[in-house]
Amino acid sequence: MVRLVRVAVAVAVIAVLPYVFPTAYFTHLLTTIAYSTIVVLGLNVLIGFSGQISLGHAGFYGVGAYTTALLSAQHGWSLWLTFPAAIVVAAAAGFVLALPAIRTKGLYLAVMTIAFGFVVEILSQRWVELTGGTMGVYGIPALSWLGTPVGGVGYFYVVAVVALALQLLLNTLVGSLWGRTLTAVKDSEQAAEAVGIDVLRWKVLAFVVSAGCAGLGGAFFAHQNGYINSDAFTFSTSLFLLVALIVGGLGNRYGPVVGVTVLTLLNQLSAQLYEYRFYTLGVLLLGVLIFMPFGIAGGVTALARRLGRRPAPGSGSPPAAPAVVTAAGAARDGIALSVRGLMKHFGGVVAVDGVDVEVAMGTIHALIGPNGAGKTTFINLVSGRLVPDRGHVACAGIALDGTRPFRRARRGVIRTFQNLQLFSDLTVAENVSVGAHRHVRATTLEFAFGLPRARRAEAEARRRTAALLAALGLAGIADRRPDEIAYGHRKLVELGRALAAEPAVLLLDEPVAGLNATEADRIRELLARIRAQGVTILLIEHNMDFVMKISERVTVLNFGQKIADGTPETVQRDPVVLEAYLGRRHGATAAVTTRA
Amino acid sequence: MLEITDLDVAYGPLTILRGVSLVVARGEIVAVIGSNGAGKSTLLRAISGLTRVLRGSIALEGRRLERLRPEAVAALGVAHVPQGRQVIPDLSVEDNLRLGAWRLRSDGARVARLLAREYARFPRLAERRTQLAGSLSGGEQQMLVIARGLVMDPGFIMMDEPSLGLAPIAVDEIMETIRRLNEEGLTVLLVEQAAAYALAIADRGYVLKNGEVFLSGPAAQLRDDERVVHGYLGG
Repeated sequence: MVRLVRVAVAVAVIAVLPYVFPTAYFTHLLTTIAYSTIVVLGLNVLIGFSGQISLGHAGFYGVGAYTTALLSAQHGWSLWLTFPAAIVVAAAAGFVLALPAIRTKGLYLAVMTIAFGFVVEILSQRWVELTGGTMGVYGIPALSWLGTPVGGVGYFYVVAVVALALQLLLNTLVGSLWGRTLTAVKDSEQAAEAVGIDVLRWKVLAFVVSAGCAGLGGAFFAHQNGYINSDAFTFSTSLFLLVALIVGGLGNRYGPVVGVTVLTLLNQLSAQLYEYRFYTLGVLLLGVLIFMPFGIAGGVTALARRLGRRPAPGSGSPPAAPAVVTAAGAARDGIALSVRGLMKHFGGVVAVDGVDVEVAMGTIHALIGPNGAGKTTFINLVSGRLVPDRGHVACAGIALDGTRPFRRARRGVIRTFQNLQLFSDLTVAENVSVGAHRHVRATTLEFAFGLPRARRAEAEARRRTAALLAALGLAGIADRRPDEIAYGHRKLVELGRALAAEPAVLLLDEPVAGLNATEADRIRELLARIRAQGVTILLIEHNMDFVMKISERVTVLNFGQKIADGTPETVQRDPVVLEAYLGRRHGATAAVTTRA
Repeated sequence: MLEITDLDVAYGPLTILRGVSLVVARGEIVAVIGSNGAGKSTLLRAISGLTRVLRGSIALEGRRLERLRPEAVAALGVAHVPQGRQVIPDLSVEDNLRLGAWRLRSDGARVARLLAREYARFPRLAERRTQLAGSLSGGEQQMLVIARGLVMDPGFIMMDEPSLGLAPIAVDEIMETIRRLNEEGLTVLLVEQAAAYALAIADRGYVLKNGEVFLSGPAAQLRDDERVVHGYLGG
């Protein structure tokens, strides 16, 4: 309802705008703002939400413009076809650039996109037979309706309505599980892969969506004047787009429209002092970065948050006894995880040295050993984050060797991280909900239009998240970000995210480190409940009280080798284990820890 | 030595500490225990100047700290061993330690002596002195941050969960190390989830709950307090 009102207001504003200053010049300016916003909206998906920078976006913009210009002016295609063609060709260019680009990051990616921008710029200048070079393409037909040109104001309406529609689609998209998935990829690729997200695919997807938007904006530009040439698609256009996004607010939904409006108007105001134009822009950019580091829209949002937000009261959410995980696998017998002859060395150090471990289905198996014994490396090998020098890993009889982490996660092998890998831009609840990724079937378009499958996935993730947060005692801090909560709670968010994936085999790296004995007891009960539902758990933990109470079987590693394997009772009495790991005083400390 | 009076700390609209008063006498080990989110780490961050204090005072040997910047607090010989292994991953073990000795950097001989002392205390670090800190195992990183705190030769050290992620034998060693450092004259403020270990070596203890001091007293007395046993020792 609120949304409907907002849309109505936006439509009203668009309707009135051309009559505020009823001149052709002003209408032209408004149209420019509208299609530039379309381009920057796409740029925001790429930079703001997927965390990949592009300094060559004018390239995609140019590809879109030339596609529609050439097809309509020289081949006589209908604009009904050339607009989709512009989007598709630009998106395809995005795809082609993304394939090599996503393997790089930061500065390298920036340089790669600059190079792409230059390629388009040079082709548009020098491939004269195709693009007309600096002379450009003439006679690009204007938009018309039933044979009558729509005119300046009409054209503005068309572009603005498309921009508004795109804004709404992207709002839905980034506000959905889709947007949270993209943010997850930005914040921690490792953790994203560990819940089954195909990180490379999502990064390519962001490029494709972003390039498609740029292509659409470029097409509107081409039909605005009926003429384009290579001057419009230079590096400084790419910079303008980027600066507009940053001034408006990177990663803020309304950053693009705010930034483009401010920058375009400023450009016009300072046009008469041409040589001072870049000076004005520079001062503006510096000013915004110093006083509003998250851009104009970002600053407004932060202010609203500060004024509007109240400390959450002790959240009276009912601790409904949650069916935390629905039965993971049919078979309760057999071997859930089989590791044979696993070996990994780093330089001269052998971290894991020919280890065999079998974890029986539906049991809790602990992996203990001194610090530096190779336990975390073992988990990294099983989860696919590291590639072993030798050895085999199989889950429920299916070999996992040579598969990427996200594929293993999709088979139900889910891990947590000792040195936390939370998604820092997502709240506690959102972190957990992204864990359910491997069960989401809805596509990008379904999320953008809020179709039933996407809505169901959303509702399902919300339901599971609420149950998990209650079970973990995190309901009261569901809306905080990871950097606002205590270490032990962050640990629990990691666990919650893993559980949201409904694991078949759960690999936990120190699940109760940073929790006190009472908090650890609660996690022990939770894990016991999860095991009862058929989930197999392999855990690394130094809290011996916890390990001895919860596990069926214990494997001890030292210097990468298995030095003991057996029931908790036998391992606890093993002299080798006492010497290397538990310490002679263990009897005494265990008594202290388990007192009462 | 350290006297905190009526301390309030808030992050934005969230009040983390409310009216906390706490005293650490010279030569003591004082333990702070409490559930996650009780405000233990925030207390240490407030003392070392990493978090802004809303109200109340913090005094070290009579000198007020609550408006000082972190580097000024460190320059007074206050070491803060942060939680969660905050090593600098792309520097070697040795360089991480040298950073710890930053305030003594003009006295090369003293820094060398202090480094040697910590290598003797943690032989594992000596073996790995040229390795990048990021390539150490979790437990070794924990040793490194503790050594980095000690290498500045502090008079007062605050440790935030030094036992985190350590093998039982290593926890015993760390607790033994803390006890011995204390015998050598170092005053210690120890935040621990492993409350049983902490109260075993501490002279006195405080229990924080929802940002307030809930209980305080001699460690031996807290160990036997029903509320502590049920709340934090896993009764």
